[in-house]
Amino acid sequence: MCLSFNFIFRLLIFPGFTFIFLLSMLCDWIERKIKARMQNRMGPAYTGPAGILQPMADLIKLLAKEDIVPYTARTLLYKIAPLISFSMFMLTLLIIPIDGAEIIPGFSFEGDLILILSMMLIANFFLFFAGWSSNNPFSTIGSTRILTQIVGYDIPMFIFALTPAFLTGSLSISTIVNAQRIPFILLIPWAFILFVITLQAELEKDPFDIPHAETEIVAGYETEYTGRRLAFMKMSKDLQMLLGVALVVELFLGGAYGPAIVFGSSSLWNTLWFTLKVLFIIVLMEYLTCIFARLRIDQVVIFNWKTLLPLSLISLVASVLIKMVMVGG
Amino acid sequence: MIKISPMLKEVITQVFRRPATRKYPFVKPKVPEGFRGMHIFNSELCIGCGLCARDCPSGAIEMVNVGEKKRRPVFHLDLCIFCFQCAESCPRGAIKSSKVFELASKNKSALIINSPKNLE
Repeated sequence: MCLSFNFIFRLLIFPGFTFIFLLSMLCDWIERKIKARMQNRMGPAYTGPAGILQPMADLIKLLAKEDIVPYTARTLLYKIAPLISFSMFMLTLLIIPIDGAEIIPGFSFEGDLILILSMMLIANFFLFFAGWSSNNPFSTIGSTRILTQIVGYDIPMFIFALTPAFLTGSLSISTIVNAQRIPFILLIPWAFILFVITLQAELEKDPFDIPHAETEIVAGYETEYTGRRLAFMKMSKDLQMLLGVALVVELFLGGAYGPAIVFGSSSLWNTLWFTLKVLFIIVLMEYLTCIFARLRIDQVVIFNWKTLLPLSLISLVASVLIKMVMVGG
Repeated sequence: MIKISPMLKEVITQVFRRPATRKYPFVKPKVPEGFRGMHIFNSELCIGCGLCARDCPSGAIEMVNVGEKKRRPVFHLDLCIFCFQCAESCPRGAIKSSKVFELASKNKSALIINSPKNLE
């Protein structure tokens, strides 16, 4: 295998590690700014023009703080959990074609989508480990709530994510993206809306805010983390948000493609369309966050099993009918 | 009948309006007349009676001896509750209020008005 300069550049700089990192910070900034404006406040405004450097400033501040490991925590797990979750989210993001072509040559195979969904789940699970190893009542409550939520939304999320795969007839993300002459949001809008709602549950945003309910259990699973490790946890959460939104964009909105532009590098234009679609979905998700209050954990479980799961099965049936109309008939 | 919450539309329209935040350190608020801020002490009018120190509810005024028979008040702003009973009690009107309210400081000596060192 040859480590050409092109590969290293695409892996580390653009559209690889650095670009994803900066894109997740941009998403964090947009998220905070839009949420603030919806709540009649200013949002970040003073660091950089319109506060765009605020996520970076938060990260730098955290890196300067003292790193404390609690005496009774399980040390190894406590130290590794943020790192593993960060790396897994980053690895999963490197699989998604951000500029239309894959980053690691020869990586995309037929079961791509399942791999991405499973790795998202495992990386989310490591957030549970982070809270569990802290040996703190608040962290324990927060982590067990993560697990309870995962039990509820995981199956519907898989079913909704596999609906575009079903329409396309393939489980590989690049094939699904290329098969969208008409973006799937127009063909199966119910799956899109329900997938966004399930994504809210996975990203722990209102109304599924319960694992890190700030007003109730100090910070949930993040309570004992300070300094560099808290920086890694925050970066993992930002990457998780970017991953979820990138998945929505690839599966339902047609990925990195937009109206055909003839001049310039196609890689840059594709990245621009990708970024615009990501920002649109983030605004939509922040809107959902602002209008809902928080559900209790038992209400979350009831909602998942009584509403989301039957809806996911009905949506699957509806997609089967659409596919039959598309193929034959 | 299910009513649609008016918040759905309100949240979106709020994005396009100016936020309600007041940009405090760059834009100072206007304080009303009669605002009780930092004390302004007129040393020439003071007769050293000590009524201000006696009437202060939190004991923030301390009378110190200056010179042979003169006494003057020293205001400790970290104890003061800004009720300005001292200004009302003063028979000569030597204590007045200003509109300065940004009194936070990193060292305690900034919070002592009229300290004995200044009285020489």
